[in-house]
Amino acid sequence: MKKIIKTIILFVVLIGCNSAFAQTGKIVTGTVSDDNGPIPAATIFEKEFTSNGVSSDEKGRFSLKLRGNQGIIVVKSVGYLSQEINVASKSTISVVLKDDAKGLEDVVVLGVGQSAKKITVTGAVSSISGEKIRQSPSASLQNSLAGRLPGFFSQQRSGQPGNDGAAFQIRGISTYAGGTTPLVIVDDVEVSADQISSIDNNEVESVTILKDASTTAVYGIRGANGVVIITTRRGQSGKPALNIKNESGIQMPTQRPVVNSGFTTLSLFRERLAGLYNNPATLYPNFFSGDNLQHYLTNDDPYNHPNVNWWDEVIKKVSLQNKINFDISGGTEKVKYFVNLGYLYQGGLFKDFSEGQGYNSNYLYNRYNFRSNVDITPNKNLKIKIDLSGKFGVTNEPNDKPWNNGGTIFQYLWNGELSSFLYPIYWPNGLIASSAATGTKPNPVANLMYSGYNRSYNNNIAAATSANQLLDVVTPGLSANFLVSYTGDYNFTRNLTRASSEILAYSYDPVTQKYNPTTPNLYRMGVLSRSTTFSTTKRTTTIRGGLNYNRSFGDHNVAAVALINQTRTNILPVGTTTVTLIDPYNIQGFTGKATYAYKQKYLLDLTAAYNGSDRFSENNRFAWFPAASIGWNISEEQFVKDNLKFISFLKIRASYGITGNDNIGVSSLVYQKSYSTGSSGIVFGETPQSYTGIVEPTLSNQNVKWMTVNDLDVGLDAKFFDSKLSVTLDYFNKKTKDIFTTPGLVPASFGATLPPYNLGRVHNTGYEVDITYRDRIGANFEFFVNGNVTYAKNKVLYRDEPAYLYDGLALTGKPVGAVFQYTADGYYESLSDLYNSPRLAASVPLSTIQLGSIKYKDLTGDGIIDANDKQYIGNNNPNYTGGLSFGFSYKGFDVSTLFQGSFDYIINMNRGALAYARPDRVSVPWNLGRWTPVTAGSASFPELSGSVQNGFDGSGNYWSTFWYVQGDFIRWKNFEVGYRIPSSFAKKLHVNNIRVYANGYNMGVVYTKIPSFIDPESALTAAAGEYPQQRVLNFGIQFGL
Amino acid sequence: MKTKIFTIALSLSVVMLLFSCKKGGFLDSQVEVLSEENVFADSTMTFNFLNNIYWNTGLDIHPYRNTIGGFTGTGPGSSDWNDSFETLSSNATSGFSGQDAFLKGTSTSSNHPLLVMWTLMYKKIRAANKFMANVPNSPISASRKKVLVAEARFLRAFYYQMLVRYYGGVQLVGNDVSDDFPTYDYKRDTYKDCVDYIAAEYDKAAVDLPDATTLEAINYGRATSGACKAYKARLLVTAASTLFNGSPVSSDAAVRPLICYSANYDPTLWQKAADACKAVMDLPEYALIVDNATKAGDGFFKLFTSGRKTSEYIFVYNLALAAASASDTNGGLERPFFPWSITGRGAGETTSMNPSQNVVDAFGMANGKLISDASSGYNVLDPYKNRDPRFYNSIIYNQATMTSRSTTALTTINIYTDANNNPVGDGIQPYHTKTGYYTRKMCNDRLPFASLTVARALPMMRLAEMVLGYAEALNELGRIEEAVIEVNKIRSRGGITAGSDNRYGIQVGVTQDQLRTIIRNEYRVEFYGEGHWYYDTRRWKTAEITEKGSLLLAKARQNATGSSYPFAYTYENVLSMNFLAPAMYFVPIPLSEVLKSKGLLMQNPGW
Repeated sequence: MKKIIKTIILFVVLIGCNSAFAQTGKIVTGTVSDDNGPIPAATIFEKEFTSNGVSSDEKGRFSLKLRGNQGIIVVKSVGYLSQEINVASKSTISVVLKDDAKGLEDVVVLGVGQSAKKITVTGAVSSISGEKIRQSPSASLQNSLAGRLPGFFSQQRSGQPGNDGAAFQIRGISTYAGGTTPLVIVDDVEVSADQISSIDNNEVESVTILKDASTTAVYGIRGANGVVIITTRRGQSGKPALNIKNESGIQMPTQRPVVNSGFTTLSLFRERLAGLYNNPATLYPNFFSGDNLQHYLTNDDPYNHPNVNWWDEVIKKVSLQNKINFDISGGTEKVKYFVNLGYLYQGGLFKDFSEGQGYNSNYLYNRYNFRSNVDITPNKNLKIKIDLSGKFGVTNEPNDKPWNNGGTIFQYLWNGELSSFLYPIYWPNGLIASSAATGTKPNPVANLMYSGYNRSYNNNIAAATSANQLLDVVTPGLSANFLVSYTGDYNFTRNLTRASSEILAYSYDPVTQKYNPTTPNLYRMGVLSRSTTFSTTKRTTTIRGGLNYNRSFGDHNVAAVALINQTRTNILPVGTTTVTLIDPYNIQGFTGKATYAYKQKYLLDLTAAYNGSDRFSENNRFAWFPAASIGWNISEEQFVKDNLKFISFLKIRASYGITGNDNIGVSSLVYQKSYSTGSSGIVFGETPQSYTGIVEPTLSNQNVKWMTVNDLDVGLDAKFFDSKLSVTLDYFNKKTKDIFTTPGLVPASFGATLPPYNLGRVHNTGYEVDITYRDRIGANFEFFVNGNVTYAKNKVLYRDEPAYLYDGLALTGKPVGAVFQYTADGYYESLSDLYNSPRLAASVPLSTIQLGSIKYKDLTGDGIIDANDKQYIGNNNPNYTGGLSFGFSYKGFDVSTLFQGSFDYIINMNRGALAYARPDRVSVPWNLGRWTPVTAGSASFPELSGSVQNGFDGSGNYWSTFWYVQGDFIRWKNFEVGYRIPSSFAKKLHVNNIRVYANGYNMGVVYTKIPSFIDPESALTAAAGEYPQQRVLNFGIQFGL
Repeated sequence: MKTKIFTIALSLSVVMLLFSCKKGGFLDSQVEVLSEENVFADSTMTFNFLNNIYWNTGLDIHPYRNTIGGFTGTGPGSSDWNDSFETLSSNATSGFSGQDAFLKGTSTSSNHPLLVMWTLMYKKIRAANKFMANVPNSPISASRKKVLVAEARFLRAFYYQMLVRYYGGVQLVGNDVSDDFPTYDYKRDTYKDCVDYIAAEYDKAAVDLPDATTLEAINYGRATSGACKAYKARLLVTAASTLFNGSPVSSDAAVRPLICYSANYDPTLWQKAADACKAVMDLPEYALIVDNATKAGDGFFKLFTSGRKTSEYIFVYNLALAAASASDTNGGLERPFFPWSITGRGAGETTSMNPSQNVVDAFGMANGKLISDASSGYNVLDPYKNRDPRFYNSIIYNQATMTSRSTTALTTINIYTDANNNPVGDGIQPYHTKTGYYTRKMCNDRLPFASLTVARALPMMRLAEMVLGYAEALNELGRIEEAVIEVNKIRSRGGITAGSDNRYGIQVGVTQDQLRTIIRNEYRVEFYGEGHWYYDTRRWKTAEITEKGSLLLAKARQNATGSSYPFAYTYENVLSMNFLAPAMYFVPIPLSEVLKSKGLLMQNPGW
């Protein structure tokens, strides 16, 4: 490390004493413009010495002193075709640039500081601009990518403020163990994938995903899951441009279960009790004796016969979201800057019951972002970037678990465990009501009021400094670069809580007519207590240095990169003060890349990374990850240019390579066998003395290594009809091997605990289609339509499984995420059916299963239903994902919208609310379709008497295909309508421009087979108490000063 | 010039960077490794390695066996494991639900509550092998090493014996300690080979181990030569019993050797069993604790409450000195067993091991007669009167008295329902008791719970088992009257009155069958709560009767004032036990293991 620091110091000092290469030469001045007027910030440089360049000012003017003798300058600007101009004979020029309709000069970000023109890229890459991302008001950046980028799969499980980021993969899942999340890089600095959700979308210039080996191989051992590259906005030279943006929105749950009235639920409950040969009136006299049930119907006695819809009572109709941004950018030739400040607030869905208590127990999220990107150009050859950014999040949650016995209020709501008829919210005398009876759930209002809160603070700081030095003096086209970065992630939680045993709520005893505290002998509310917990702290430092070479020789263009990088991550684990308990995570790598292009027609790209990770033993630590790709720009061929005019652009490309994944799924060093001490507790001696045991640990695996992916990609990029229609097609075929798997065939009589070995193999294959049409009607009306579909399907080829009694039980041959459950086969329709059909060993006819219980198929044919009859019924990861977006702009107006969907997977509908009615439960309309002898033919739901076989017990042991449906959905994901107020009017207000806009997120599900009370992206198993997904409607105004 | 200097410097710095990033170094592990050599080069760590092997020995008797072994979650650690082993029998129910499925007969070879034993025991056997292989290299005196190796040998035999009791014949793996995956076929050795091997190992270990008198006080709880002999005796008594001797539960010639010692009845096995028991009884260091002077059967109380070391304990599971109220999981008995009115427990905390009416009925009368005997004097209307004194020392029943929570005054335990059918006090309700009884056995109920601190070792092996085993063997050998004398040693100590004929209620001219019934009942009463009944009902093949049908609770209802008896008792079903023969005589070998073996590892019959 010391050595590295010395090197850095030396480097910095050297940069410091290096001054401008002043040389005399001809001075060329001029202006750059297009049809509409001057182009500011266009780049003008000398072809011979690409380092010798300037930018045009706001009026398009520039002045360049030439160094060479050729006298050719190049003029470039984003969105325009670049031009080369011979200035040998003139010193004042006027350049008119033409629109780059074909996008030939679009630049694609390729990672490790590299970028390339789209036309010459031979890998599979998709990107989206910051503007498009900002059309979505979602707080988490990755939520704006769904449906936008072919190959990007995501599932948003929760809408919780501060915790609503989707889980995502690139090109689906290709391993059943270890990490599947892509590597995330922000401006050349790696961040952990969960931090992507706290990046302020106002900072983003573009998001690019790298999908195939030719693009990810530069990351070698970490590239196998694909790479997400986020670049942030940077300053342009010119006057300071200030933007102020305020967005205010409302959030509302995308769905809320409809529950039956208390009377209906009780009627079903009575039916169920009778079905079990009980007398409801004696068992539950409060509900069923006398005219009690009648009171529940007429609602004339809300205290003793309450009917509380807890969803309505606890949840607000809407909650607020607010976002404020302030950014300023500008600079001079020498120094440019972009500074952004952002603030985001997301309110929680609960009503503010805690308001009178002096604290806020509601869910909420506050986030503060800042970023300062500074570019310094001390001289023509040196560019320095100094980037500093921070993200500070505060997430608040009610401390609702202790009083709920470990569950959250949302869990109880989704599971339908808060019954409407047990107690009101308050008793007539104002005391808060609850129930202490076994099996019933306590009043959530009391919980929100008195239990306090847990507030977690997430603090993230990142600093990166990089320098790029042109070394044309050594040889033209050569440059050196160097990067140092640091990220720190520090988290802690502050709690203000009240012990669940000290919360005062009352139940009513009708016999004594008294209100009794639900905690016996508690007569005073307990005091609130404060506590702090620390969670993981992580520090990562990265150093990278390398050489770039890029030069054209006539028709030949050659580029090469050589890089060295190393990253050290120190993790301070939760709840300890000893840093060494978790090993630091260190990686090191050497990367080389070479590209060759002939007339931009024939393209070749070779990459090789030589990477090491400290997860692996010394002799197995480094590996080569090579990749090669080729491309052919057919449209550059003369015969196409001459004969097939409708083709504007056509490229075919192919890549093949090997990438790795060192996130194999273990945090310890598997190659070490380190004996460990147990806890003390072994006692010997007449006077007892306690001893601490020592045990043989898990055996070591000396040969542990990374997962390896062999990745083939074949693609086509095409544009037709003056680039109005563009098409990208990709086919991919990934074979992952060496997946970390515990050997399944070693006898337990061996007696040792086995480490995982690199044994498993998964095959993942699929294709992507991306089609865009954009055109202009008349002078002012522009529109576009984009559609994309990705199909990715995987199959486990090998997992070291023992033989199964029945072949259908094997995981091998099934996709990752395969679901094994019973196959439902209607209901038991008659007594002979009930007695003669196979059933679970634990089921006793007319005792634990009834007429109308779900019948299972005996797939093994052995006459009984047991776990062996649980066979593959489908996959819980979508095989298809896609998006459809379209929009138009007319003068100051712009409108765009996005639909997004996932297809071909199954989802479990079993939620607690579907369980049979019980005194502690509610029922839902679906329950009304229950099987009864009368409705046998048309039943849509099993009988309600509580057969285990119906799968109501929540354990998941008895689920069947009855509960699974196709999860396919199409969602109206977002829309935006904007209007730019005419600048003449804006000027009157002393601002440059004003834009007002409205946008929305999660507008609604357009198509699904899933019942309306389950979000198609919600947790794949039973309700885990997730926060409802949010629909956001947002209104914004932006001023440019 | 400047340019040149800069360029050279930059190139130099890049080279230096390369150098500083050279392969290795940066990626080397930063964590100290505690290797096998380190462990066995250190005498303390070597001892602690052995100590850890002892940790799981208490599985049959520890009231919270999921907490021993130190690795909750990977040891026998799911919630199904809470509560004592006794709750897998008709003697007691568990406050936890895992055991219910077992008693109902719905366990499978994938979810049986004892499945984990297969893996756990082999881990312990490997550890013992590892220890024996490495201890020669440790810096310990030669004489000590000899004892340590013998301890490991004892423990290895001990865990094999546990395996054999659950599964029948198992795979004998020898001394393998390699880290390389085994290349042997995965299959079982015969029951006979296992028993003979284990017996020989006990013999071998006994030679080098100290006896109870020469064992240093600091080492109390470690293996002794007496323990070796007693465990061998238990092994041989089991092997001579019905299930393993003449009545195997399978007719399949391939399976039979795995689950029985001798397919045809071999009386000489009983002789061997008798000899083995007698050998222990003849050891000078052990004696029954008898005290009928203070109070009839007080020896039975003192046996468990007179500190860690008693003359009757042969092998114990030592516990740390702890307040009775400390925690459920440290092995203390009072807190998990006693009623809430004594322990002051709170909502959600479950008492463990509620005795069933089934075991209560096994306790005879003070005169030594079974309650089913018409001449016993048993009154169904007043069922707890004049019972075997061991009943009062084992069971807390409605209106039993015990020392109050915080004073030495006696308090009456109310376990009944009032006229409105509401449970009173410690009556039947969730978390309190499922059966209307609580366990008192082995507890100290003569000091206030709140201030009680117990010096305790749980008896895994005590002399009474040798005496009863000897009596059982003698009876099977037809030496009936000799057997009567032996069994009465236990009955007399328990506090049963001698009677005018000095036969403690055993009739003159008792037949072999009658005495067999008495002896078997004696096992149930004497060892209630110590984890014996599960094994005994299997080796006798009586589980099909005793472990089937209703596991009963006793519901006491208060009679109207002035009734001749204050309470009326009814007996209801807690759960319907189902004993599936032949399957439940043995624990199934985990299905996953059978599937690994490519058909070589034979499954037990019925699974």
